[in-house]
Amino acid sequence: MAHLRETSDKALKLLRTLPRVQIGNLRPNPNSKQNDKRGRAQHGGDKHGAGNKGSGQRQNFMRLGYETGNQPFYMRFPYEPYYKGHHMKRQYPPISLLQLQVLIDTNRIDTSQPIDISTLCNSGLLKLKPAELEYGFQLTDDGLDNFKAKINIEVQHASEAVIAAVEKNGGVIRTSYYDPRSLHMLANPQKWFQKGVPIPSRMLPPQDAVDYYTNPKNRGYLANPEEISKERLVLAQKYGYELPKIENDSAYEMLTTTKDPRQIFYGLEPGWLINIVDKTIIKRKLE
Amino acid sequence: MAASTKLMLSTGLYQKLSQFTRKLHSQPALLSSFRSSREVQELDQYPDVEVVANPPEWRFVERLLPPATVPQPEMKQEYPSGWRPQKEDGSKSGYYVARTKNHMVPVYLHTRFRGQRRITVVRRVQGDIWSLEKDLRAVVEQSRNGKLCATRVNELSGQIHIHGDHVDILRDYLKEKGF
Repeated sequence: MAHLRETSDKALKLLRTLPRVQIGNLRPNPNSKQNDKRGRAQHGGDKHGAGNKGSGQRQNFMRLGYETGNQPFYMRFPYEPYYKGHHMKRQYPPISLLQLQVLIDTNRIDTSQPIDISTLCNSGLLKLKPAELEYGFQLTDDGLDNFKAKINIEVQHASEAVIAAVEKNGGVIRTSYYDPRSLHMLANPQKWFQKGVPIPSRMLPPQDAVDYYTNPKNRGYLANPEEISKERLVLAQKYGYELPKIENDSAYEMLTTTKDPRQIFYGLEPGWLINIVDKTIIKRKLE
Repeated sequence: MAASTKLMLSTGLYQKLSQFTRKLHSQPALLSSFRSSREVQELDQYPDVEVVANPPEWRFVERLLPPATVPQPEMKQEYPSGWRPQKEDGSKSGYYVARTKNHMVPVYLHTRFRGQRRITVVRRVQGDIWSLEKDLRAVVEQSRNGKLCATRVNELSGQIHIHGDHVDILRDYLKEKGF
């Protein structure tokens, strides 16, 4: 056993002098690294794994799914194109009523002013990317029972229950369409003002969105206002709540503030140029 | 020399020359509308404008400018969303959980291995982190009907990791305590 102890002592002695095993002084496992050199000529310059003759040797790889003349597998069976044109469709990123209530509770949104896309984006917590076909926000019904704010809000899509929840609290909701350029302006108004370009007018909705935005049931911005007030009553009866009278409200002026269908910002007309450095507005002279 | 300059100015040559030089060496500032903007035409083509200083509509512009900092929450009678402002200062319990810059309770869910491992993380703990860990573990174990629960404390970074998804329970507990 003496020689064994001697050996282990030797090993331990050696270990003491050696550096610690660390990631810095380890080398890769044998054969774990592939040599990136490719042999040439008589010794090692043979087929290099590409085989003999044909497309294998020439490495003209066929396109994916191609079966050398057969009807390819991916074209062999009929299919239903559920997602056809999905990359062209308008997206409406959701905000829930709960999220909106949290924004109001944490003082991120001022309910004494009408709320639109720019208000939501300026809260710093929501983002809109018009370049990724996001055409505005949709208000969803999550947290519907806890929603207690009286607001004047403009979104791009809202369900019936959400409309009822907003109107039950004495608020006003409207759905409206913005073209991508207007959305780009609304997503970051400050940055857009810095360009020093006159405010353009808003475009009208495309053909497939006209039905939605002219429907008073959706509180569309192109719907007849008289029909909207009628639909408000209808919805109140359907959901069984008493519709608060906006006419008697102290915030009547704020609640009835609307944008023109051609207007992008509240209170600012198309054609005006905003100078945020000098705090001036450049307007066309009226003859 | 002077005569040629006069000639250029008088015949509109100057304007053409300036347009030419603009095309020739245009190195516009990044993100400016210099290149994309239309060239200036004859001035009488443009409508008459007036520059309104101190316009009454400026309040609409101010409304569109974002706040420079995160606004401080206001004290209200009730908060329907369930969010509550911080009350506790931590002197009683010996520990303190700070709110985030957005005034939220710093309890998060970390999901790893495609949702196989869920870990609840309580961040921004100050003071006696071990007694908070004891309290939180008691809350979690009570909600799991006495089943034990694995935790990990990182004293240096002030974080407590709790095995499993207990975000709602712990957030509510911390809010209830006033943090």
